[in-house]
Amino acid sequence: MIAAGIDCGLENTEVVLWDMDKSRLCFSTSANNGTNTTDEVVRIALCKATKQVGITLKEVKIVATTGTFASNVSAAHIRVSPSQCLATALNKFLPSARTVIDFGAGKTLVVKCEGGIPLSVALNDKCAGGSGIFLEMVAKLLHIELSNLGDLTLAGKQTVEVQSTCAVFAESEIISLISAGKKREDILRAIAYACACRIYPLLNLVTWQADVAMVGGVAKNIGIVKAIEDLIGAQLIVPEDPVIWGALGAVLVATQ
Amino acid sequence: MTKKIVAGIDMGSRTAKAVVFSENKILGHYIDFAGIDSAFESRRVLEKAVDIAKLPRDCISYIVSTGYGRIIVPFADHNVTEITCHARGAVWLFPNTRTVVDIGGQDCKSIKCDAAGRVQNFIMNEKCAAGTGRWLERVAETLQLPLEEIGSLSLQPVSKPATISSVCAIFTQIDILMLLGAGVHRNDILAGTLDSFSSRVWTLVERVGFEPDFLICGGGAKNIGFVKRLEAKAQAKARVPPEPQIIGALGAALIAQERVC
Repeated sequence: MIAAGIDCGLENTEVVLWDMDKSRLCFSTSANNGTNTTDEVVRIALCKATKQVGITLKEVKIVATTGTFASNVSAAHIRVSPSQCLATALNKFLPSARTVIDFGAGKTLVVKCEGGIPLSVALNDKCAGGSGIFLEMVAKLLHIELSNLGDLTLAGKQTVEVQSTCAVFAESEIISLISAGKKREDILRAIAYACACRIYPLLNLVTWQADVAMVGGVAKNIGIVKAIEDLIGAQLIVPEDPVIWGALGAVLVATQ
Repeated sequence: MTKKIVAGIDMGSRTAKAVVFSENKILGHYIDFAGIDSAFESRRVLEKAVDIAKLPRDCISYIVSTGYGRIIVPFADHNVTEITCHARGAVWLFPNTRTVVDIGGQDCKSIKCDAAGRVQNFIMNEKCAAGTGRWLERVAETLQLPLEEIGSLSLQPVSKPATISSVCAIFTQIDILMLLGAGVHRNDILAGTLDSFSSRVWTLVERVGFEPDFLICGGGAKNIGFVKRLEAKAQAKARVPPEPQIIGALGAALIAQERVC
């Protein structure tokens, strides 16, 4: 029997297929929402997933959803909170992790958990400063591919400071820095540390404990990972395929 | 005795304003975008204001600067905070003013003052784009409309105002795009966004304490949709100066006049 977990994020939607008999992941995919409705994105992703695995849509017995637009999914059987998804997924696949940072496009969620239970939660979903969307804006401004952002950030030196915490004002600041001839990697370094400074209070709010894992699209940015590690003085565990953890947790909760 | 001519210069983050003043009269004023070189810009707007006043370039006896860039006006005789200047300028224009709401390019403030234009309480947001001119600019850009039109369009809803729950400029932009995708009319989107904007500003006003009469100034005062909504929240009519962006420079000029005489 196959179950699906769907994480409907602000920018991207992840779908995982879980083999309930063999108790393992059989497929995962991530799709950009574009201008499609949530239902359309989910339908296309589910079709792709079931085709790859060689089953029909009808054979997906349970559909579990989570994320910003989870309530838009008409085919859902169960909706799971993001923090519960993360706590469950961590408990199964990263049992040493006590704290997780989910750094997505529009929200940053920090959860302290134990034994699959979220103990405390801190969330920023109101301010785009330091968000994944903000990093995309920065990449565009500096004419860098999003996938190269991390490496270039690591090459940066501490010669520049970005004062603004607001994404809109920071954009202007960056333009001024570029006009002043500052190096892109140095600007990126400053931005990375500014983002880490936004995460830090969330970690403190949950009274974080090691090990700390990081998931979400921004976990692929090694520059941000390093900046957070420097700030908290601890290593982060970044799992392979960090974007699927919400969807994975949803389907695990649904099939428990 | 030759009358003393003074000037006030308000160096904002987006625009520079100059007011030439003498014997309790505004003789000339000028507004322009601030640009990169503040020192140069400040001199330029002053010279333009003096030219508009049809006066010789060297006629100014005393200059007070204010605003975000007030300390980088190299030729100013004195600098004063924009909070103080806005209160002074507002009360000079309309003596019954007790609350000043300024929507600047990159900040917004609410000021409570007394009959002499002295500041009793204030709150200023310059960290977050919500409630500032930049926020409105982004809304206009997202809807591909001139900034000058969004206010009046927001007062002409086709259906009911869209619900915009975001305060952040970026998230609001995303909300707008989704509403457009869902086929909501842009007037209704504008109604919703201006509702959100006005609520945000009103929160600041309430924190400082509201007392009529109130004056709205800054670039944001030119947005009729915002003005009407704030009046509805205040349940009072707002004073909007004919040149709402020069209130800070005016206040600076008033202080200059006091200091030189």
